[in-house]
Amino acid sequence: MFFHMVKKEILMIWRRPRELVVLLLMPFILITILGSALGAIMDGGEDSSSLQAKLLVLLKDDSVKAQQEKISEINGSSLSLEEKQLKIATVSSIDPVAAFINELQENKELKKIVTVTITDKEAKKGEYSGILTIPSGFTEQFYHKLLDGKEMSATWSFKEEDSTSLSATVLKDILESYQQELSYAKTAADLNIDLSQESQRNEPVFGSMESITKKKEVDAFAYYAIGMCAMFVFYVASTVAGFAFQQKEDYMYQRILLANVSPYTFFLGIFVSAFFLSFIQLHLLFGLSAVIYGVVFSSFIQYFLVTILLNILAASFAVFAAALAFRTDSRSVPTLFTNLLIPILAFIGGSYFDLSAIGGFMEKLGEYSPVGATITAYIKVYQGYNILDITGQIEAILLFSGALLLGAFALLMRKRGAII
Amino acid sequence: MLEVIDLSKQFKQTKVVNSVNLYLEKGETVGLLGPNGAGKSTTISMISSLLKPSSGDVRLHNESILRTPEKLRKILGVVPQEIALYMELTARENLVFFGKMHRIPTKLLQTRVDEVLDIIGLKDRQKDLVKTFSGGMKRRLNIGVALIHSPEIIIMDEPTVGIDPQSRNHILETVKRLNEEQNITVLYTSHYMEEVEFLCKRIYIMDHGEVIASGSKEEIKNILSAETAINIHIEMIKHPFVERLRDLPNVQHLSINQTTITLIIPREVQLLKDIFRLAEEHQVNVLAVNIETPSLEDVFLHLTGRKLRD
Repeated sequence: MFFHMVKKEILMIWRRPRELVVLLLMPFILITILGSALGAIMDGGEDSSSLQAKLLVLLKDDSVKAQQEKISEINGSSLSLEEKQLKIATVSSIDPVAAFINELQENKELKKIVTVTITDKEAKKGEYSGILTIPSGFTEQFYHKLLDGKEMSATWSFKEEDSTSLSATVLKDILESYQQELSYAKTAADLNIDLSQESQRNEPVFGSMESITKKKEVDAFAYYAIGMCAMFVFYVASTVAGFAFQQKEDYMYQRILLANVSPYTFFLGIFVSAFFLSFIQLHLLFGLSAVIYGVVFSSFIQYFLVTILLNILAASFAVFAAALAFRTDSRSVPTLFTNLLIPILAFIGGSYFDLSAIGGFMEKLGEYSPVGATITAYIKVYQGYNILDITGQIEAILLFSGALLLGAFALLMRKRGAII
Repeated sequence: MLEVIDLSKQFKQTKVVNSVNLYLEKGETVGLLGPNGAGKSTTISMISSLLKPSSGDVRLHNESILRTPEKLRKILGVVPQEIALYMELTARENLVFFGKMHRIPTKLLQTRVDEVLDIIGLKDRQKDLVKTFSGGMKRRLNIGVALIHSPEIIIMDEPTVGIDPQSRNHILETVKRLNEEQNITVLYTSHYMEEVEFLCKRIYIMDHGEVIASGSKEEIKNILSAETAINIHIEMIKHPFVERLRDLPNVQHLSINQTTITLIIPREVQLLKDIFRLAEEHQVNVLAVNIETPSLEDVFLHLTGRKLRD
């Protein structure tokens, strides 16, 4: 019986071009448009000219020579062998100038937004967003300060072309971040921490960024594939609920009851239909996104698990919407779900943009809303997190599903004399 | 076979159906007549176990179906007023779907679907989507779905509404054949008196939620056995003329259908002279006058004060 109920729903949707457009074509178009249009902003994309900062590094310091000289100096000192080894290790592990330049040239994230030119000659005004001058003797003085606590007279100077521009701000942020790393190195040296090991762990300068990006990056296409799927799956639910109410209006539901099918079986049919339709929809959308935009999840099993959970949530949503429409005897319920509730849930959940950027209450609300919990779970799976990292979202999805089914059951409780 | 005892239904303060009694014997076709809002559809919903009555009982083979409607539903087919079909499915898919809801085994169902398609005359259109059908074809399929599980009783709620005469005749012939050849019991409601006259041996007339008359066609017509119907066919209706006719003594009822005025008067009264006199006075051109025994329509009008299609 359920097979025929599901088959009927699939045939009805398949033969209604409008429904197909809404449920399949529209989310895919939105993934394409949003992924392309907002990709540059989300990913700091290469075509984002507004975020292209040009940095000229006026390098007057020879850090390699300074490092070698410092090591020779330590070797020639009267320090104990152990102290010598520790200091040499510290000096060897820290070359602030080389590390900074290396980071600018090698870090993928920075390369997208900063173009670096290194020279020892003065540049023309207006060609660069900012000019960083590394004076002669900087590295030598840095080692003296780091190991001997001597004051430094040689400092980096940064001049921005336009202090209000975004690119200048980005460059200043990068330099401040680097300055903090150097302060950390200095503190570590004061505390006699073995920086050769610490630095490996933290990969100084932008090591913290590196540790974050150990997980797979979520680009705009991946984000919007997930966001749109998490949103449009609820349109399957409201469509199925709308069909269900239409069956009551047009007497098909009564005909089904007259075939000795209980209302609960009918609603179970709605659940099964919504489950399978949303299952098909999600796999088609994610499949297309994988083939065309390379949105591939890190773990298929975890992706499948989250998808099944989302199918359960969508099916529960369909049952609740249908039960509410039956109880109120109003066609406007599925319409209201489609036109108002789903867009709100999608907004709160972050289908349109990542609400975690706002932070605070909205972030928490989004994370544990039906759409938000799903998006978070999918993103974590996409990035390669462990199943244990999404237990909160799994619980939230199951909790919502349970609440919706309980609500539907309460609505379906037979009112005296009613057809339900 | 099926008996309705003192059936009533009240929605809040409004009593929609009030103490309705009726019965269906196996193999007979019974008509349920009444104007809009008479309570026919509510009565049918209660008889078919879709709506719980406020009071009264529905009995199948002397057993109440209110608590256990399954037995009745197994042998009951309902043809609703609505086109209760899936428009995006084909005729065959609709029949198979509802057959599956009735849990008919697949092999048996295929044979039964073919039989039903034959009965309703849609075999050559079985693979077409219902949304491409004409109104008459949809109505025929609507009946077909009610027949899919080979019911013993069929309740038809105005099954010919809004269709062309040809489709209407097909449906009437189908219902008659089902009754005569397959001995299916039929409860038929309609706005069309001639349909009920053609199909039914017994008739119930409902108005304001109550059965106001019942019996065989002849018994119903005998309600007006002491009366005569005079049909005056005139060229053009003139209201002063109509009003003067209405004021004539012994005119129990007057109705107008296009350019025909029908008067119901006691059989012994002679009124022709007065009619012609008034026609002359008001310069009304009388084309024809005939005197008939009152029809069911006249009886209905007499009983309810309304036409069946009001």
